[in-house]
Amino acid sequence: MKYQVLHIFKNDVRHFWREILLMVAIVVAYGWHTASHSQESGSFFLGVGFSFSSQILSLLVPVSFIFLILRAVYTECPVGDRQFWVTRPYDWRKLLAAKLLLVFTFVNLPLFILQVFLLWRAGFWPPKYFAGLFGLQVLWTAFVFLPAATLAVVTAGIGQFVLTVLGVLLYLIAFSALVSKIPNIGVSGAASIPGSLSYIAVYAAFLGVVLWQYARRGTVRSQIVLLGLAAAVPILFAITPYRMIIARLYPAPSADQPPPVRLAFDPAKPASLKGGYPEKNKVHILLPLLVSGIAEGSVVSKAGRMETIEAPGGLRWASKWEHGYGLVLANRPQTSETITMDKDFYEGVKFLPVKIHVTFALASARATKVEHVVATAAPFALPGDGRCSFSPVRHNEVACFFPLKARSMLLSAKSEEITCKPGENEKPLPTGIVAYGWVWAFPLLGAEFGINPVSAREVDLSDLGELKGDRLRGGVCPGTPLTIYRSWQDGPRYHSDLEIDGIRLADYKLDDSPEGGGFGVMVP
Amino acid sequence: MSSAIRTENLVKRFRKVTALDGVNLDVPDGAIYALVGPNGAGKTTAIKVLMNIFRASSGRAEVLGTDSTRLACAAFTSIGYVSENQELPGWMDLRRLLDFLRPFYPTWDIELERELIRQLDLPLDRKLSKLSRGMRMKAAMLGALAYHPKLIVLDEPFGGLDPLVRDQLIEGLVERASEATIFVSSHDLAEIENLASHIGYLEEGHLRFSEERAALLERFREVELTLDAPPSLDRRWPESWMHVAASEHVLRFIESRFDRERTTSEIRQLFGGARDVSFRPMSLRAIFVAMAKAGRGSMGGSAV
Repeated sequence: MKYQVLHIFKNDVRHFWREILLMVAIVVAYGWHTASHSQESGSFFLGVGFSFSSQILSLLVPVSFIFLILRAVYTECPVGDRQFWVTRPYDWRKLLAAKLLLVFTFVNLPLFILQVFLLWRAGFWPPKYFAGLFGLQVLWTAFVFLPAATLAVVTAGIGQFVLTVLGVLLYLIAFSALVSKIPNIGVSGAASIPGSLSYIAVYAAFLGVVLWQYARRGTVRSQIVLLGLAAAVPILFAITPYRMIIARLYPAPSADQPPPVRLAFDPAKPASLKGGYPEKNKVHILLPLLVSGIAEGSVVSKAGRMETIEAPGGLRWASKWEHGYGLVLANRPQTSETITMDKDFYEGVKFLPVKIHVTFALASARATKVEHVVATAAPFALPGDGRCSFSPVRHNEVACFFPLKARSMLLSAKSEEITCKPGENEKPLPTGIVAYGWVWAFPLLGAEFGINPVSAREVDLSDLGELKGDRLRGGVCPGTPLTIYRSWQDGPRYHSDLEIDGIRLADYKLDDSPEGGGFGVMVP
Repeated sequence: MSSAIRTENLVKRFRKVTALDGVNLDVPDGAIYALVGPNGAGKTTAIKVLMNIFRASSGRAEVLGTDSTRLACAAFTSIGYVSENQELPGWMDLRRLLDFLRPFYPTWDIELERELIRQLDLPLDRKLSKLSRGMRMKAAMLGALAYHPKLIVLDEPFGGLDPLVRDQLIEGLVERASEATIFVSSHDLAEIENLASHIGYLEEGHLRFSEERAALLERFREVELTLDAPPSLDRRWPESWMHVAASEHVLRFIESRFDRERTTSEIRQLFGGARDVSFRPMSLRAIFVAMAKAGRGSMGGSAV
């Protein structure tokens, strides 16, 4: 048959006109609601984007897309032995092409039009961002449409599909729990190899299963492939030699090049040890550190950490590699590190002088562009086509909107240049402090995954480091000059060893009693 | 004569259950082949393997000269398949179904379509999901006949249908018999008794026999003989004798390989003084019942 694709497509459109109409109505409702509420800075702070109606619409849009995909698949279901179409002269390639055409026309295209509309309504010129919008379509296909289609082609109906999705969710929960127990996996970048291999395997399997089901309807084999994949991925994560990968990712710093940062133990004891939290059979030790050598416009990420504690009498405790937290920044001479250790060991050595050896896995990055922007009461721009404005409700809060994706940038301002007045119960910021704020971005294929292609970020300067004292606020107010570091270039990754000798752990243990809330602060 | 369908040692297993066990089938071109057997014999499985709905565990099957595992797309323009448990697109009415199907088949005959609609008395504007079972079967039949298929495969097409609908369907089929090979399965031989030119009997996955109807009718006889004394049943009977039973001086059995001379000779060897020997022809239904009963016990020579 010459025009089989169009013939099946037309038949599907006739069949699914109600579903298509409903889906279009949901997309239009989402577009109208988002355009009229969520893209205003006032709305952002008032939480309209998180309102019930917004949440419901955000859920209904993908659900309506998935529903249409399921209906399209189940009309000529590849599972089972009673289907009408399997003994008719369907060419499976044309059948699959007809289904793809339906999904493209009534799922991808409406999503694309919706995103063009939302960009336009937010004041961005859509043609400029077509590449990113295309990337978004690819992401939606990869994260939502293809997985849904894969499960649809191995299930016999919507009931089975829903049960399978629940099974997949349970599997993902179990998988996360399992992976979190794997030693040394938490260090940034350590799991990139099994992660990448898993992605390749998963998408190869998804594509293979869809093609196989249409070509051969080998449902049992397809199900075995998917179950095998579900079993293989955790095994892949479990057998990966993380210590070896970490050693390669974070080598010793080269002798001819100074390390991007130097960390040393701060002999001054912490003024406050509040900020701990209860954890069964664990205690938390706060190690104050001194920072030096970091250049302006550079950051060093604490990607991982491993420690050994030796006490008199041959007592010894060693951790595995653990996920690191926090960034080391210029103008911040102090930082701290919280070690989580076994309570039994702690109780045995807490009053003894111990020797602590900490190995940090550090990853440095350097901003290649530095810009200066003054936050103004009128809307102002940030790099990356960001458009920012102050909250009409709170004068020191700024919302910025970016087309497709935010740009990772570090904002800073000297405390004496911050124009915000302290609130009623707040103290003025001490001078000589640099307040930082981050705009984080996690784009893939040039866009952040989501329905709305306009990324919203709250911009503030709330990171005051280890500055002690409460009732301090680092904000952005009209007239505050901002220094913006962006276009980050990866610097060296390396490991750094730190020896601390003769301290008593009891002097550094964080209070984990329920009333000990808040953040740990130190005397300067 | 070439074969429309041929299988070689066809085996289909579902985990531990063997549904087809070495089936060798040969359906000549132009035949009306009835595959009969009790429920669960493997008839539907055999058809689904032939139609490439199931994949055989071993062995091979050819349909219209094509390996059944390669049966797809263009091959189905020559095959009309109707099954009692096939799902039709219930959201369509018959008119839409025909509109949808027509472009798939280069040989679709609009005149034949109209004729079948009239002959089968089908409503065009009622949704298929709203049709009765008989109407749905007729609609399926229409959708499988209107393009002059070379092979018509029917899986239990008449089960549970009222006689009028059944006759309409059979009439529709018979009119196609001159241009197609018809392969029809049924657990009730009476439904297709007068239709079939060839009969295959499938039981527990084994094809017990497969032959022309005339030859089959010729080789089965109900035999009754009167003896001087009541016979002892505790003896070894010829393999071709089935359901041997005695009532005082009268012995009855079913001869499954009837040859007047050979059977008479066997009777004389066993019962020299047999009197009043009669050989009565059997209906297909009676043969089928005898075979089914023999299958539940043992085959030839069993006493019932």
